[in-house]
Amino acid sequence: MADTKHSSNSNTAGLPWQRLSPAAIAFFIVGSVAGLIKGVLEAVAWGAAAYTFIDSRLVSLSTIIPIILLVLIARPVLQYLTFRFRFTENAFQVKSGIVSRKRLTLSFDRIQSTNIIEPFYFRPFRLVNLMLESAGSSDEEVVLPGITAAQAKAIKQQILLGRQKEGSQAPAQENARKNLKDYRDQAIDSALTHDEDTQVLVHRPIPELIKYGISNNRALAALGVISAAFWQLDDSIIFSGARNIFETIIGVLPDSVFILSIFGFLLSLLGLLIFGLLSSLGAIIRHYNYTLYTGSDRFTRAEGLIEKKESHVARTKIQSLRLSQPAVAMLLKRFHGTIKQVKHSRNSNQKSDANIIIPSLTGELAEQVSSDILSASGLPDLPLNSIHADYRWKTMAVEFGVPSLVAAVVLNLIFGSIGLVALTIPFLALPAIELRRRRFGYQMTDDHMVIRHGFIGTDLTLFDLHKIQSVRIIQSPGHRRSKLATIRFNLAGTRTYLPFIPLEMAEHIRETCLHAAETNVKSWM
Amino acid sequence: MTEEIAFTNELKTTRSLPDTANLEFEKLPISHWHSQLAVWSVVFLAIIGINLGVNILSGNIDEWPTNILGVPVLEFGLVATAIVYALGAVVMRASHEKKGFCLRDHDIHYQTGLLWQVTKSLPYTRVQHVELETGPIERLFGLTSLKFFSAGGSGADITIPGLKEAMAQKTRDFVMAKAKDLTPQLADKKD
Repeated sequence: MADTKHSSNSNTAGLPWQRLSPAAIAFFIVGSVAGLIKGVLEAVAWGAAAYTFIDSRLVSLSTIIPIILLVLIARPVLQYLTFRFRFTENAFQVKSGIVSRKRLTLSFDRIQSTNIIEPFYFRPFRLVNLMLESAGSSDEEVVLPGITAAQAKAIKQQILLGRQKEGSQAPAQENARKNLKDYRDQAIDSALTHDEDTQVLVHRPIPELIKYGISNNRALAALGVISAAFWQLDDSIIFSGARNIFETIIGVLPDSVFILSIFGFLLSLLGLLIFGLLSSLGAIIRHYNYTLYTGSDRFTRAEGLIEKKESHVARTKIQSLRLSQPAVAMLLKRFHGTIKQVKHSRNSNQKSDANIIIPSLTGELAEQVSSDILSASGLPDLPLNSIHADYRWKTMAVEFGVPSLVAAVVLNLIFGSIGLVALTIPFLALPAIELRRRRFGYQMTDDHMVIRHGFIGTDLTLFDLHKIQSVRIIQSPGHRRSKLATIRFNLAGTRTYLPFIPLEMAEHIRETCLHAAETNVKSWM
Repeated sequence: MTEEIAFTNELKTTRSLPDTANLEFEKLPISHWHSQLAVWSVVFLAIIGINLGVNILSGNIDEWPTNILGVPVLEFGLVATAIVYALGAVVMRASHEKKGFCLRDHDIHYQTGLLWQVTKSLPYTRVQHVELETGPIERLFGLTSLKFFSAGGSGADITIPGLKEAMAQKTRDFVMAKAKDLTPQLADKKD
């Protein structure tokens, strides 16, 4: 059955269909193996079923092994044989599929980013994979595996040229078709020219990647999961384990709980150290030789130790910049940047690579990155307005007061008057609520919005006002009494909000954002 | 450097407002409330009917007290039922009164919510597509819901429920025309 997909109307006349290099089979084999591992549970289930219903294990193995081989070898070969690609005047077309044939037409203007990836198995052959990501969904994601770096650059440049032609109302069809015929040479030349035009914006050496490894939010989240798992263990197991280790290392069995506690503390520190080392190692493998280049119309990021990756993002596709400073990063005086692109949350398969991470930035570098991306200097250092003090009382009453009242009633019925201690929870939480309130901050300039959230660390979101998709103003009864409001911003790549700001200010921000979206001639996409 | 086009953003209602920040919303047709009342009536009757049916079939109704607060149980039940039903209807009417939309030269706004009042604003230049959706109850009352989508989320940015079909189509056409007109206007300026 044919499955045809068009991302836009495009002139279908173009160069003849091309086949990939046979080396691409390696890519498809890796894909098949990954798919097999992913479906390992299913495989185990089928295997168990085969063992149950077939008496002879020899027979079942002789059935299963050819199927696995078929999946691992025949399928990639068929994928290679059925894969074709070509350029038309304004789009990139792909035909693929073994049973169900798929034909994808990806117009140049919908291509959000182009990534050149050099997997370890292609490195000896100097081959790469070229990944084209659309702004729409992962269904419109194309990977051209096993092509040379020069070919990848040529195709990338062809797409850029095509996009520029579309943006400036494409020239006569004849000229365009002539250009297409010798696109490779032209593209290689202009790609080199373009590369000369770019300059390094950020380069992160290994010490900085180590700092990123121990201070990013993912590391903290992983640490949280590990700690939670650790405390799920029975206390006696931990206690006896510590005693055994102590006895093995020191040679005596301690009687004192104090000594055991000290030992446990040191053991925890050792665990943290190991965790820090592993996290840093992960950061080095992923972001090795991290370099972010800036050009007139796009950014290029190159990184990776085992799998080298080069991603290109058009400036116009960038929706916002986030500068995060988790607690540990605060101590190290570092920011972790994220460039956010268009993201469609309807598509759960969307790759997280749609966002570009910039690890471990100093304050000065964060300012440089922000200036370059948002074309405005000083945004991260702007003095910010606070939200209204009512936030603390509302949060205390609604988020802590009501649950603690319910808890107090239940606990009082079960344990007696001691259960009323739960009523103190909102007061105990007040310092944390106040800290969170103080983390909220906002500032609007003529063209930009800066919003800060956070608790122990901070998250600074910066965006061009004209990137706004829609705005909401929300007022609870309490808000109305105090003439306050919460404002929510919908951007194509992210959502953010500001609670408890004066209604008049919220309306002013809304009007300014709408005005920018309605009059600014810069493209939001 | 940001270039700007001559900008006006007048309200597209018969009422003119001195301050564009003070949006004035057109209310939804009263038949929207009627449709909600119909849904409420069906749900309410279903709850009462199921409750009575279960009690009658199980014989529990024989154990009911003859009087509640000194009032015979039948009268008490009828009055209590009428109060709950009326309360629901009043809340729905009040909620209906708070709903409204506002079309300006460059953007559309929709207000909703009785306690938590929300005003949603969407520039025409950000409208990706528009949907008309009619459910079975709405169809009975000749109503339809109008949904506006941008690239900013997984669902509709604005959903205006309970519009008369002709009104919904007219509004859709107006917004689509505006979206089409205004985007090239910006593109021309860019070139």
